[in-house]
Amino acid sequence: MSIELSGIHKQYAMGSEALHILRGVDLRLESGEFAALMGPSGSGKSTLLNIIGLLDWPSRGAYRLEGQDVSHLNLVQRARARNLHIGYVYQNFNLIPRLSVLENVMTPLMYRGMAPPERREQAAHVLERVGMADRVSHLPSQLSGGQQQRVAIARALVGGAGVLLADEPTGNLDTRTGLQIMAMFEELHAEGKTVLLVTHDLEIARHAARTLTIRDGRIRADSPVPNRRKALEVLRDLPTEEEAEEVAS
Amino acid sequence: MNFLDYLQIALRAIRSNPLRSALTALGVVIGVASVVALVALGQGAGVQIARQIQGLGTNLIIIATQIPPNGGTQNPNNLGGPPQLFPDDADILKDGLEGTGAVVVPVMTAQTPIKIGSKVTSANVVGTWPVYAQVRGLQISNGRFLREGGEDAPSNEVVLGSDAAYRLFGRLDPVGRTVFIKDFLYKVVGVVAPKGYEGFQNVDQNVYLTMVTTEAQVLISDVVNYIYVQAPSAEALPQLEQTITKLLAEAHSITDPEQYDFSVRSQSALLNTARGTLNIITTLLSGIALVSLLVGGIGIMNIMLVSVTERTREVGIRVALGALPRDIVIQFITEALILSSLGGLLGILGGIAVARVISTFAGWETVISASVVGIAFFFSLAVGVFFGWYPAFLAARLDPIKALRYE
Repeated sequence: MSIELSGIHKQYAMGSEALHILRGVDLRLESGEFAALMGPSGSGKSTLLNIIGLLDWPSRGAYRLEGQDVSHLNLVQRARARNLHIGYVYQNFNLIPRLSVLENVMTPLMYRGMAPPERREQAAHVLERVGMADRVSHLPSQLSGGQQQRVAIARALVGGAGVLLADEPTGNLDTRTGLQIMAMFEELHAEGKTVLLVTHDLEIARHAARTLTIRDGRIRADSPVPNRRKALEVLRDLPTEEEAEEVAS
Repeated sequence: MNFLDYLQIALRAIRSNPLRSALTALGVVIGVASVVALVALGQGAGVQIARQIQGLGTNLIIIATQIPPNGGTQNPNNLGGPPQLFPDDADILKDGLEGTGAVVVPVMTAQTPIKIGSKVTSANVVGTWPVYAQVRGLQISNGRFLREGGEDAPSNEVVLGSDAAYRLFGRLDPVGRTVFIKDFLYKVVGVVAPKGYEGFQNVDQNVYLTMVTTEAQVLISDVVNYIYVQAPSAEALPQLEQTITKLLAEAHSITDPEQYDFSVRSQSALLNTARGTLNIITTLLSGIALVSLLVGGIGIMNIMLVSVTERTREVGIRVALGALPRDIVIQFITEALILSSLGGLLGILGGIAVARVISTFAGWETVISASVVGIAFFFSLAVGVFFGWYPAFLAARLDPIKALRYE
């Protein structure tokens, strides 16, 4: 799914002053691209991500999703578009704590109006894919961070979204687990999903094919990644825990 | 997204905090239970009073004394004294109503000891005419009632109420035996079958003598407490009431209706007065109970507001995943509705239980009507929707971006 932003501005009124977060962002992500969005805090990364994710409106500018103008959709149409096309993965996983793993993954399908047996089947299928098939009835609190993130990825995938938006998905995970998650994004990218990864970790950004740097509300740098990291290779070379302990002692 | 989905989400939320949910519902339980119990008591009392008044007989007019505004009475028979009815009044009515089909019965009452050997009990002596049994619908279980034609001279016949008979004679048949009332010896000629309470009086403790006997040997005065007139039909009541009023006014030489020292009231008028009073009391009490239901509703709103705040992030997640504002509103209103309807159901059961307990231990009659149960349940649902709406509206209005960052 392609994403096309042109002249995107975002302003907030902060008391008497206008806060100009985005000052004309032009960006085109082809369908199936894997890009990392980097930038210091306050640069407008999150706002841009929210606009792409249809959670926020641009004050000005046009946004085309798969060629279709989505800047003027109303609340209900946006909810529908989010449900169908966009999968979110957050740093803090954002699973609903009272619901089981399976129910969490079924939630987007419920809002789509799918019948319960189908939801269950589809959710179970995706959970199997992310390696969580044996934890379907667990609560999020009974899972490790890496496992929770796998469930969150399953939830982002279950509805067949073409765009995956990941906001610091490895931020709360240790290196090894983070790499496992990155391996999943690489795999999804290989399957043709458009992946936009927000991170401030240069190493993590190197898993993407392209890095975008945003500062003061504009994209300042846009370059392909010359030496892409491959999560599985890095994992293989990573010392095992025992080796790490030996080195430490 | 179907109804079961909303229900499931709401039930999950309620179950996740069982104590809090139970306490919230308890507010509604208490409100609904008190409405149901109070109305049950009120309606029960209404039925009881109606039965007592109807138990007097059918198509009855009750004539009693009343104090005229100036306090005294103009009746030349007792000038200066308090208003009274006299045996003569009964005779005048009997003659005046001749041919209308109405039956006139005067009643004199007196509390007096009644004894047999060393056994003494207190009896409520009713001095009356023999037609009393017919007018009041007395069932005679043994023997017969007082005899017709014995109205002019004292007689030595007595008829006992079932309680009076049991207290004096136990299981023995009293008919043909003798009792003493105020040093006069009477022969028991009959026993009245049990009838129970009439107002605050247990009529089974009554002892029936002729009026002349009562006047001469028990009361030693000629004060008549009531005169009953039984109309031949309900349609005849209004006309009869007018005739009676006219006859008595003439007999008491009173021309100004304001100064009447007697009242003529039909049974249905008594019934309406009693019901009217009771309805006011029941409505008032239910109103107070409804206030407690309102307080229960505020409790629901309070907890729902807490619940929305606690689940701000959840709302953000749901919206991000494609929930419409409508979905969020329905989710929270469903939750409030479950709490309030659960409270309503338990309150109805509780109210019925309270009514049962009261009728068992206090002996009051209670009536649980389907309409009251229905209304109480409807009110609890209304409370849920009314007090759940605002928190749900707040939840649906949350900005998902901020909600997702909410800690």
